[in-house]
Amino acid sequence: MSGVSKSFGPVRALVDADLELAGGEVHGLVGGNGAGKTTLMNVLYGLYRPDSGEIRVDGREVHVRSPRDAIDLGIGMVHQHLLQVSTYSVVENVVLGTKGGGTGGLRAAARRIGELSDRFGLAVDPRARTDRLSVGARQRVEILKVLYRGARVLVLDEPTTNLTPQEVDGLFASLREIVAEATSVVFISHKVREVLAICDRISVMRDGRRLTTVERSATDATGLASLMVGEPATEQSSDVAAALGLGAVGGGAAPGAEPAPEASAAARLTVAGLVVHNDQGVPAVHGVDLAVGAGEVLGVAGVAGNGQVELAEALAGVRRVHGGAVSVDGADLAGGPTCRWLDAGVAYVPEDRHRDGILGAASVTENLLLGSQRSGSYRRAGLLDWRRVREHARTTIDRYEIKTPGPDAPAGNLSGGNIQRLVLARAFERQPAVLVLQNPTRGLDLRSTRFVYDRVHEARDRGCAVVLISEDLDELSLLADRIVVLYSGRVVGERSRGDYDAYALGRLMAGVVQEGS
Amino acid sequence: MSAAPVLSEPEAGAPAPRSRAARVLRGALPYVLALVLAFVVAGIVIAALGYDPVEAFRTILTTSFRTDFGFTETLTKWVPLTLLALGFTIPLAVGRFNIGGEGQLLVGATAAAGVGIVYAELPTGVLLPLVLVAGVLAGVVWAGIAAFLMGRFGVNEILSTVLLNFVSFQVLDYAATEVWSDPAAGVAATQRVGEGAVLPDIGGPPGVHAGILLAALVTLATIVVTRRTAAGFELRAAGTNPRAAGINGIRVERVAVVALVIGGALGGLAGALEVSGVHGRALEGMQANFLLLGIIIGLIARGSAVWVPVVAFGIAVLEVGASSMQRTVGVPAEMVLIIEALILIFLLLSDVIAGRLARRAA
Ligand SMILES: Nc1ncnc2c1ncn2[C@@H]1O[C@H](COP(=O)(O)OP(=O)(O)OP(=O)(O)O)[C@@H](O)[C@H]1O
Ligand SMILES: [Mg+2]
Repeated sequence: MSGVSKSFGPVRALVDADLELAGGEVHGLVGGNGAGKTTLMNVLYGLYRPDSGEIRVDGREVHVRSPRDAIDLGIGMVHQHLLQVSTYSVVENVVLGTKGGGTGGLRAAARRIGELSDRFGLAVDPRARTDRLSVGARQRVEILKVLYRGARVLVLDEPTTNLTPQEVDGLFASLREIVAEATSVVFISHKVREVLAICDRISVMRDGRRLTTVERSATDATGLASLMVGEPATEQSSDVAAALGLGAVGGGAAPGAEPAPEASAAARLTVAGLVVHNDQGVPAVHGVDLAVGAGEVLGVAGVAGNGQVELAEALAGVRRVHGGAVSVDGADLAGGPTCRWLDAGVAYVPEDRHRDGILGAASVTENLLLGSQRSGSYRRAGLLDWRRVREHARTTIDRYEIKTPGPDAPAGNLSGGNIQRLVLARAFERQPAVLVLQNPTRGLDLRSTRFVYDRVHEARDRGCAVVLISEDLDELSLLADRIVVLYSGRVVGERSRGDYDAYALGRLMAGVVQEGS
Repeated sequence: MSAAPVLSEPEAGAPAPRSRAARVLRGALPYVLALVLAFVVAGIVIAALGYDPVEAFRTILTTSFRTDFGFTETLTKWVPLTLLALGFTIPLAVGRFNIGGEGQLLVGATAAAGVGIVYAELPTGVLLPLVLVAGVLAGVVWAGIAAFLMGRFGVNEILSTVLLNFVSFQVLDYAATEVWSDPAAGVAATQRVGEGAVLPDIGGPPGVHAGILLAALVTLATIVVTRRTAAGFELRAAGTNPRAAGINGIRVERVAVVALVIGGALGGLAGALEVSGVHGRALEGMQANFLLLGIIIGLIARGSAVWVPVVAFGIAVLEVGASSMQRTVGVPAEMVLIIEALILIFLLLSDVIAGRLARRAA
């Protein structure tokens, strides 16, 4: 690809961008939020038509007008947000839209899918319904779909954001097998460690351009991080690199993480005997007790699917509490409507920001207003004071560096990382008493990650009780004053700062050992 | 009933046109096209039926403006059309469908007529407000049944509101044949309401009943509430993404229930105004095709409270022109319903096409 430019109205998403992909390589594509990674790949996949630029495959110029063209050229893409959630079976999903299904075709297809999944270690049950599969399995289905169509170029847009560490390892093993057969992979990620672990070459994008491409062998975590952040390899970028890329766990206090300035003894958030059900009505959290003091950051570790979502939603007052009590500053909130929790000062940053975080069709301004629409500061004579709302939105956009064409642009059009900034901005601007964060830096670039960490520290210093639910042990060890491990909806262990040991935590997370907490 | 927003491929936004004028033009284009196409198709049909399409259209479009009578008639029709359209679009903003407008109108009319008959002796200053309030309350109760079933038991509001329409026919029938029947009326109708229940005319003669001021006020209030208040914001938020709205403290189910009840109140008000301002009684068939037209208006206006009154006026013009066309040219009045439906269909079609074009351009 060369000379590719693409604008969305006033936004120049790509400016003369180029990219060269060799056969049989894993090519890393990194860069800040809104740098244009997804847009560039959407152009390659025929979803967007570039304003200018050309694409060559095997030296021949091609015109990709639709995903159909792309597939015919052997280009396949798995999006940041998985598309298929349906009652179709895995086979039907994979075959959907391919030529020549026919009768008996399904059985043959199932056989081929079986072969492919064996060969590349992409374990899925071809007869399972996709809506019953885990996120990781659904992603494997998407990859199989691309391979089934004979792709020679596989684009994965932030494929690891929703995966457990084990699933990431599995994905990497599969990718190795895939490139061994001369298929090329484009791997988009914000995580230095992952990029270094899997990629052969790495291209860095910034402001719609490809800045540079480096060989894996010619760079290290600090070097790559400073390229991504766009600053010389200063101490800060190496901090971030250390925190994100290389085990901060086990090394005692990580750099940049001073312990909290004496967490006060009085607990702001108290959870006693909490029982919460999942969507199927089955208990997912069984009698959890927690106490978080003012100015304390409590980390909740655990492999996804051990009750984190249910716990987070219960703490935020979004999900019904079936048993036990949750009190903020002494007032029991269990059973009250969500707005009561908001009024009590609880702010929540959900994990699935597209589904739970934003009104996609509404403007950035309206999204920033959401939840504060009844606050007195936006009211004049009983009406919403839109001037004030917009003013506040403008300053918030500046303060949180939300990259948007303007306050009136629909929030759904922002890049993934900027949507997360929006959701975070809304939560932090409420000056919460209790902050519940679930995987808050997922999908964020290094600068934004650092930014979130600074804000968390700021909230903590203001006396906010922070509950940080994360699957990222590095993140937890950097931020949390105390870590509890959640397994099967129970707290199975607790560690204080200075006593974080990755292997011990890992064993607790896997449910191998339990200890009386 | 709220469709969960499905995350799909990145929305290919159309490149924003350069200037404001270009944007307005671009926005108006589908409407102009839909209008023209609808008339072209209808013209072909009229010609095929052996009538003169030019003459037919001339009658349809000019009747409202040629005579005072036509214009009054148009404004009179505008009142229930606007109210029922708003009664449809307000719940629609939270993704709920109020298909019960005619039922709400009929029970509103029945209640209004009942009060107007029973307390016929009261003076205007007392009786008229009572009559209107009775109509509104009846509409609230009628929609409230559906809203309660929806909020409490998750009963689909489309089904319940439609079924309640059928019940409302019986309610009116009972009132008009058993309770307050007027055998001299020729159709199933109640007696006339007392003088104090009749809305005065403004302007004229022929004048429009003063209920039009009330309808205009209600429209204005709807615009202000939806755009400028926290409640209106919550209404839109709950419709845009119920999950995100709920997480941010909005009680989505409650908002939906309230929206449906408000829809019912507007239907009931429309019924009361028809009694007080037009018929002087409740009678069978008074609901005309206001429900269907209200839905068409709401959809053409794309749910916008600003555009509903405008579109409603256009539809009222067509409706008044239709009966005149039947009388003078002989084309069946139903032809106009076909035109209205065609406008909507072409508009929806143009959405699909515009989406395709935008994607292609992107
Ligand atoms: N459909 C669209 N309409 C308008 N603007 C868009 C659209 N898609 C992308 N943009 C804008 O183009 C820019 C590049 O976005 P892109 O999604 O490519 O970023 P990215 O590098 O993938 O970022 P992230 O890491 O946050 O996912 C952003 O400023 C974004 O707001
Ligand atoms: Mg992206």
